Amino acid sequence: MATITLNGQQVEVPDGLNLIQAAETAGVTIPHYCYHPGLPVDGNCRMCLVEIEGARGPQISCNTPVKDGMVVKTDTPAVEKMRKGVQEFLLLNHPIDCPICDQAGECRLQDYYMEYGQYQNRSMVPKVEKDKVVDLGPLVVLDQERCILCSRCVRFCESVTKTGELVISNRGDRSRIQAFPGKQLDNAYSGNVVDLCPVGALTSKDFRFKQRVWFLETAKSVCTGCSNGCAITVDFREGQPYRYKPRHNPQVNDYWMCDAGRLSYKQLNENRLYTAILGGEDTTIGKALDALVARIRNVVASHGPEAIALVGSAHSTLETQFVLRRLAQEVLKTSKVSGATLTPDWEGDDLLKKADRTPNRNGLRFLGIDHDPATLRSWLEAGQVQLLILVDNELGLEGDDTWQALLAQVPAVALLTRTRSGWAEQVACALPIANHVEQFGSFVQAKGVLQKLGKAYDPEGDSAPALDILQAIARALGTDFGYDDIEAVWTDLLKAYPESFPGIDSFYGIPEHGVALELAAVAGK
Amino acid sequence: MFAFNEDSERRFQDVLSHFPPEQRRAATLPTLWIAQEQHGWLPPEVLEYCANRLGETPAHVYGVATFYTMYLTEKPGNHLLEVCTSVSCCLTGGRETLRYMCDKLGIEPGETTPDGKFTVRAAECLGSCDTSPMMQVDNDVFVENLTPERVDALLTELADRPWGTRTEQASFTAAGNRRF
Amino acid sequence: MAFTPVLSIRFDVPGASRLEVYEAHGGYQAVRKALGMEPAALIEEVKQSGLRGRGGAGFPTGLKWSFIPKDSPKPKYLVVNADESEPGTFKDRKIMERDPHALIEGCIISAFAIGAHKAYIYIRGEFNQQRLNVDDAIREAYARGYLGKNILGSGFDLDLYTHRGAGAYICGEETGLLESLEGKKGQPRLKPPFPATHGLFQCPTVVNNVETIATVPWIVQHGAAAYAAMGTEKAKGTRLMCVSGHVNKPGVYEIEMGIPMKQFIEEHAGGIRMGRKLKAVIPGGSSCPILTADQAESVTMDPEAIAALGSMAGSGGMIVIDDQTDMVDLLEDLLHFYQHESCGQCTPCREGTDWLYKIIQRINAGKGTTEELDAVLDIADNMEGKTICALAAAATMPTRSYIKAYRHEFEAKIKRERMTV
Repeated sequence: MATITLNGQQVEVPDGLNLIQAAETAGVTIPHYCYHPGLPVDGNCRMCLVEIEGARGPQISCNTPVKDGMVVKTDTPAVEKMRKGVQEFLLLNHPIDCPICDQAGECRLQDYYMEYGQYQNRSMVPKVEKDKVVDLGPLVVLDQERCILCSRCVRFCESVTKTGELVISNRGDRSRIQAFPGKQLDNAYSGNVVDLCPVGALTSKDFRFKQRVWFLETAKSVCTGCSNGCAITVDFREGQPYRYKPRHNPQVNDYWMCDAGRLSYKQLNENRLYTAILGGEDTTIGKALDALVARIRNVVASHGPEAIALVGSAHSTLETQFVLRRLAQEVLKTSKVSGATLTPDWEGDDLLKKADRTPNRNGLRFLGIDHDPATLRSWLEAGQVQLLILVDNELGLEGDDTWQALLAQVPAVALLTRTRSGWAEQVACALPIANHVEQFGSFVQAKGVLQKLGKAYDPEGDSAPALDILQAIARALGTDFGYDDIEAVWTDLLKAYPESFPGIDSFYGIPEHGVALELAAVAGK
Repeated sequence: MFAFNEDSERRFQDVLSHFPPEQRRAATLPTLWIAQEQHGWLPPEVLEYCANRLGETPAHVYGVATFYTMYLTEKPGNHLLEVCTSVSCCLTGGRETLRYMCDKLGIEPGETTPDGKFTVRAAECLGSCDTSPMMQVDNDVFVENLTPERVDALLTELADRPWGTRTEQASFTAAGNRRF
Repeated sequence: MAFTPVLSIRFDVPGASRLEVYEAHGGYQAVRKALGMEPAALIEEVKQSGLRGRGGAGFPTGLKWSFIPKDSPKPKYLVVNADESEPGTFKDRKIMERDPHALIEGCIISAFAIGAHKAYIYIRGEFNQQRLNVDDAIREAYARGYLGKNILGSGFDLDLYTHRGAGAYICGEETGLLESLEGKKGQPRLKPPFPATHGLFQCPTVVNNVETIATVPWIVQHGAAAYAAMGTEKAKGTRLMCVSGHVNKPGVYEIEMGIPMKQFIEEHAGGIRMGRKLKAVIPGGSSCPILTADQAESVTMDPEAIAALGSMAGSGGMIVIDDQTDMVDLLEDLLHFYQHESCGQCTPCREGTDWLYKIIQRINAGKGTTEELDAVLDIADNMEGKTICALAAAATMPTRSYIKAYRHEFEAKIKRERMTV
């Protein structure tokens, strides 16, 4: 720790930080554009200039490491003037695009203008003109006039993806961001430059003109595109998601996410099932549940509990998988519980993307739920299964012909699913369930980090979180798990795994960056 | 498809030897000079070739090519004529000389004549303040102590000379250069 | 001690670029002496001579060399700044045209002193003929064994290369130069760290001006005391002064530090041409605040005296201005230079240089306002000391001085606008 004097107060700050970070720990914000903790320092915007006693003139905070005994002032008239000066220079050639610019409402230029001034425009010279609406890549549009040349996007492509598509060409105030003539910004992480851009120079083709950001609410969640489980925020309005943005998690995804994951929010409301289906006909949840419970009782009576197979999935939350295991073991009393998920892999890379496209295979591992497809296949081949209950598992769509044949032989298939597909209309009974932004819960990502999911909005129609439907089945069969909310599930989870969550005593107590579970725990207990 | 000819290749290999092997990027500026001297200017195709030879991204090379004024990323005329108009030359007739030449050729500074023979630009200080007004020809020779007559003689001399001929000719000495 | 030429000794010797002529006139004696000395002793000698950098900053050369960490495992480099682009300056060009071997010999000695085995002379792109001349001289030096392996049997190896720039004034800033030499845009680096520890390829590097390096052989040959016997208390020795503008005999002249500026203009430069009167003098390159005729006629040519008047001795590029000159017009031309040359990296310089240029352009065209003229000083304030390098100050400090000394000319152009309807 170092002790510095910040605006007259002595504060202790961690060693090894720059002044921007150090001041932040002490509750003092130093405004900045070009600095970003995930990128190399560039020191070009000059907005973070502060006064340091004994230094030769004002110093930029982003490139000044804290030293014990430093005396720093960020609130003097001189610093105020410097900030106004930088603001004025940035606005000098900046087009007044706010009415049509997506960044409005989350724009640093706007925010700092309001906070630091200067408010009167005293320029009487024409603004420099550059290219607007440049088709930079599959996901990104560039407006060169809005750009403040902070170079965050260039540094991202150079140091994070190491693909170097972007460059600042020319010099002086003719400088402009661009890609090589004829080439595109088309790496798998191009969308991150939109988040990085402090102004509206780089905007998302997907999000453009869709929503004013001040109408959006935000929930914290996790991307389900692959098992990396990048921490994200979901921006939504009235039950509609509009975009994913990455959230900082040093253990999981640093500050970034891939484009495929970023756009996967589109699937949240795609082709959703909002009513129950019984034998191909839409019906109420009550009727469908009754039918399913009746069928369970019949099968148990005629063939015994082992004739029921309960299959969860690597797409479900940990809490859903936990309840599913309890249902199988304590209520249905069948040993046939599996988590085999056939979602096909895609190509991973050495940045963030993992080949496994499910968000919570490690949850199955942690809970010791067998997820080897061979096990499930052997049950089906033995011909003993009279009732197959699939929870958030699209075996009917993802399995090949041999799986289709096996499924066709099962007398009754019940499906708890998010998607209205031909498969859902074929099975005996389909019940609509919520997706991961419509409920609280957690996923355990590829490296074993457990992250909690925030609930953005309620599920629509008759759909409900899978673990609530499983509880309803249990209740109808005589056992009430009593999980009225996510905390109740966690009380039991913590009891069942006392060593696995050190320092955590509740769901809401799970820290922002998640908790790294012991690898042994997720290696298949 | 652009590629280095034998002479360019030899020069390129020589330049690479100036730097440690892991610092290949340091050869960027000399490489662009070699390419421009062979091709006359630097269109995207040539820049991409240079990037590949250097092991750099095309974007990096493009940034370098557009940052420096002497690299020509737009096709110039056969001869590039740059008249200095900075401080000292401004005091001693540089701007007037530029104006004279532009009027003579019927173009504005920065433009190329329709017949493709000349591109005329204003240049920033060329370090020849004691021989002003003066100009640089083809990124190479300085023609100093200009008068309207000397400008006329130069234009006549160069009009029929194709691009690429080295311009260290005696006529430029006669035009007022010092030999060294 | 009377003034004795150091740098211009061979300027008028025909064929002095050739090695035999250079040797016949005393060249390559100093290198023999230097290679027999301890590097630390060489550095001390240069310190004692009082030699200061001749690029414009005037930093003591021996002191700069002593910053190189001797025990660093990284290779060390000598880089010669031949990017001479400061308007009004053309002395390094003269050395490269007339006395390239003095530069080469200086490189050998300097590299030996700091322990560098590779040296690069970064030459501005426009000086192509000059670079070819230096290349010829380097080839001669290699052939004779003054460069390459085991120079003169001393065991010291040195490779010397020229490296051509491509037209950017900012590459005269030492870290901008290093960036360019590394194959990038010439955008100056954040400091610290400094080149002495993290220079070329992040290795210890000395960057020195051509004239500075070319002075070293003489100092070694004749001794520090002989050099220090000339000049003033703080500014030792001689320097090459360039003079251009409204004088009869523009050119490069070697002077002893401290002679009166009036004497220099009248005797060396031949006085004001066309029988006109002196109005102003830019003492050392366009980045220096301007001196009025009164100031110029009373000052001596050394850095301290000129600094006392609020200007700088700078790069030694003096520009003389007669009384028929429109100072607003001149400032517009000057600001166009900085606007064109700003690298664009940091906000205040990138936006400010163009804004200042456009305001003065408007005033010059009769479209400016008094508010804009006042804003100029505030804009200058917001630029100076807030940037990555000194280019912003190089634009603002002269601007302030023009407005201070000739405000009436600016105001006259503003009033003229108000009279048209």
